[in-house]
Amino acid sequence: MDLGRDPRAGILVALLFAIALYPLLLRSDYALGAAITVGTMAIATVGFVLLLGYARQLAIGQAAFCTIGGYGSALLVIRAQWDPFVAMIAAMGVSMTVAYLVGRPILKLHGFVLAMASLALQLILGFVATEWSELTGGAIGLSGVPRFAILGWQVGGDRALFYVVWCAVALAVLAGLNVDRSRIGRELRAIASSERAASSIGIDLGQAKVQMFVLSAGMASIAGSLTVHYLRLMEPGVFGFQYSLNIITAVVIGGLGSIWGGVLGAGIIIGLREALRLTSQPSFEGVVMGALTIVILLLFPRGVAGGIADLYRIATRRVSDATEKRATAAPGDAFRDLAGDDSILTLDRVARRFGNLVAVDKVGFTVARGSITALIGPNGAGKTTLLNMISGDQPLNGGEIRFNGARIDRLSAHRVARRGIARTFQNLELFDTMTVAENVMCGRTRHAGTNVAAIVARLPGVGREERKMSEEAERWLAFVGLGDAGARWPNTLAFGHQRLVELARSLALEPDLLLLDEPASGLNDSETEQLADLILRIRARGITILLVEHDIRLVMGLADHVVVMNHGEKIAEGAPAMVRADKLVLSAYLGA
Amino acid sequence: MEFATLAQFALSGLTTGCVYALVAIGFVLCANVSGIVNFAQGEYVMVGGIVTAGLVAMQVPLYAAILAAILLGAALGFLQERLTVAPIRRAPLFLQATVALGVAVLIRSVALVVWGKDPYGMSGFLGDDVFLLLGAYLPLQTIFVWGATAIFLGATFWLLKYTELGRAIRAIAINPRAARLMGIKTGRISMLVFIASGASGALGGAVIAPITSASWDAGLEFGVKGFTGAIIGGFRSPFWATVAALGLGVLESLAAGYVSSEAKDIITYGLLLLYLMIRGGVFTFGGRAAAAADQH
Repeated sequence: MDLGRDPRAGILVALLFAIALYPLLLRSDYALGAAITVGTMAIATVGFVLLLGYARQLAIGQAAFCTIGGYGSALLVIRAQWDPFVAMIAAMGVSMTVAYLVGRPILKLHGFVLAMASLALQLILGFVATEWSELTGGAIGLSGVPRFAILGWQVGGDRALFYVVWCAVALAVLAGLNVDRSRIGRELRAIASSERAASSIGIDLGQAKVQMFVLSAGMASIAGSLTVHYLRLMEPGVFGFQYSLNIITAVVIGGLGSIWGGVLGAGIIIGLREALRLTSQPSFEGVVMGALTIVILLLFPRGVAGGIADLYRIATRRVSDATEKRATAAPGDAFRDLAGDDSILTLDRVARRFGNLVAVDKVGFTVARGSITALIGPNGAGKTTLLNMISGDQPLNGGEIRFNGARIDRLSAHRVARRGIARTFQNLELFDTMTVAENVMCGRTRHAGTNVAAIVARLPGVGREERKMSEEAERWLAFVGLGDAGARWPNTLAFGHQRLVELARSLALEPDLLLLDEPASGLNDSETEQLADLILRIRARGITILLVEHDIRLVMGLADHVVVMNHGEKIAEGAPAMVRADKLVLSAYLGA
Repeated sequence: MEFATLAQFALSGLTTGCVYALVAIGFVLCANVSGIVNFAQGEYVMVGGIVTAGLVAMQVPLYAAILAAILLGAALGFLQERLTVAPIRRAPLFLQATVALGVAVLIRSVALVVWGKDPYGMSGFLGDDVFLLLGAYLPLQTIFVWGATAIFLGATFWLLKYTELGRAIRAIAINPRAARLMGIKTGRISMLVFIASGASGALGGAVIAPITSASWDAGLEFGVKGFTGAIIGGFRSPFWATVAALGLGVLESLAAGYVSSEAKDIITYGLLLLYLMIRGGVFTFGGRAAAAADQH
């Protein structure tokens, strides 16, 4: 953010001052302890915002990683005399490894299984901690944990620990914000908006989710380690089920969509808990947390942070300053050779059944490199099903598909996309929660080189890649004729323009093959004409096109090669003129 | 290995397995009609147990206590559906699931406030005698657990297979949109399923209370174990969920008997983790789902 003119910068500075002065102004152990507790929890909740709010994955046993952090630190420091900082990092490594091993397979499954899996993990760790008393001290736990130290530098006293903890909070928030405004943040929003469209542009759904799970586990682990150094002991009850629930409630109250919401939520939760203690009603903790979770999600799903954002917007009444960038020259100069008449895509006896219904029956054809091939046929002929099988959205019941010579019929959709096959959808699948430019930037995932660690730390390469992505997006938008629409929201555009945004997003992949599913449906005549012109320009860039279309005029004017399907079978193929004269085709279309 | 000991472990395991089965079938049916995992499922069992045991301790007649427990379970199911499921049917699923978790937390926390920390014991419906079966000595109460479960499951399967309502539930499970277009009142059916799940969970809690004693925090365990059964049974099939839940009860009891009672939970929760990891393909590399697997 621009520190000079953004009023939010002022708020941030005030916030930092408040935190810095807090232990100096409030000179009570109780206030200091509460603030440390809030801070440690905030580290965990910021991570949890990434998991629940961004990746939309619910983990009921997040405190499992606090447990690993807590015992890891306590054991390494007490039993092996490690430096507390080193021990904390080592425990974090263990937590993240466990999260990866559990999350990588499980996050591929649907149906909230991570929720139960993480709970199972927490319960197992709880049992192990209680039973393996030679190591963990059993139910009594480990006492005599020394004060925190960083590579020999002793953190003497709670006031110093307060600053260490809140520095860690700041780092966690920074990491979260870095993810938020990176390609991973966009990928997560894309997944939340439409999983199908996200995988069609090469976003690995499982990977994006597992990255957030691992990241959140790392932060939870740090929260655990620091807590143990504050309490100076570790026992199984410190991070029980209630702690997991409090993390969830904190994030819900604070605001699911905002990294700051995690910090706010932690403050509110600890505040509530302390208030209940002071009024000697501690048993009401669960009642309050449960009720708040329900009420907030039902009535204010964006939480306190969402409310503050709304108030801020009302107060400043700023119209979004659409930073309109001019369209630069035509995109990339990666003009590819139209390498003669060799085939880019080959389908061989491809079949698909739904129960007894044969949707696609042993269809085979090839798409020549650099051609515009059209797939036509009456409704229910199996065209879209076939397209879905090529793009990886549906499995095959038989046959094989080869792309650039290699089989792709068993690859999942995002892998097909990464090989260089992009697609558009019959019913538009744009990401409504992002601007037009961000939508198109999502299409660059295939070309992204920076990894999640670099993004979290915002290494210099990340900024460069962001700028490059943004430039590419602008260029492809200009290519489809929407050079000035980048800052707008997709749903404010006319329908025909939304189609073009989707096309630009697919082109941003720089695919070898582009699959278009009824690109002209819903367009008027002049828009259809522009589309035809655009398709020719795309082909001129060396991109092969396979198009499913109802508009026969469009097809006959554009295509080099036409494949006709009816009732799941291929009934004819050839040059447009030849196909048009085919008796079978005529009877299929006219019912004669 | 002595047969009588084996029978002893297996048959007591079958008894807890019955309660897991009631929870599992609730999970499956609620998921079928609402698309979410109802995390409150285990809490209904807890409510059933603690209300029955609590009322009996207050000298309320047994049948009235059981009836009250089942009615409360049904009422909670009704309230949960009307207040927290129906109003947000269009919200993202992760949000709906988090709300369900909030409901679970609320129910167990209220139970803690109302009934306190200490578990409630109660004697069996026909006293605390035992009977001999295949060399195993089982409490008489076992018969009530088995009987209640058998009757409830039998009725459910009959309902699903042979009635209009059952067909509607199955139709919604396959394709809610198409079901709605065909004139099925999905809202009303969702409500009925939640009421039935609440009641059946409470029934399970009532009949098992004399054997396990009832405590405010028991719902968590019943929930996770019922869920394990449901997920191993494939989550879509009430029948296989029941089978898997019964099997889990037996397995757990064998683990407690032959290994140690501490190992019991580690083994069941470990099994859940391991199963999910294998299902998710820990040994395979991500590919497209096989065609046979996704033909609904």
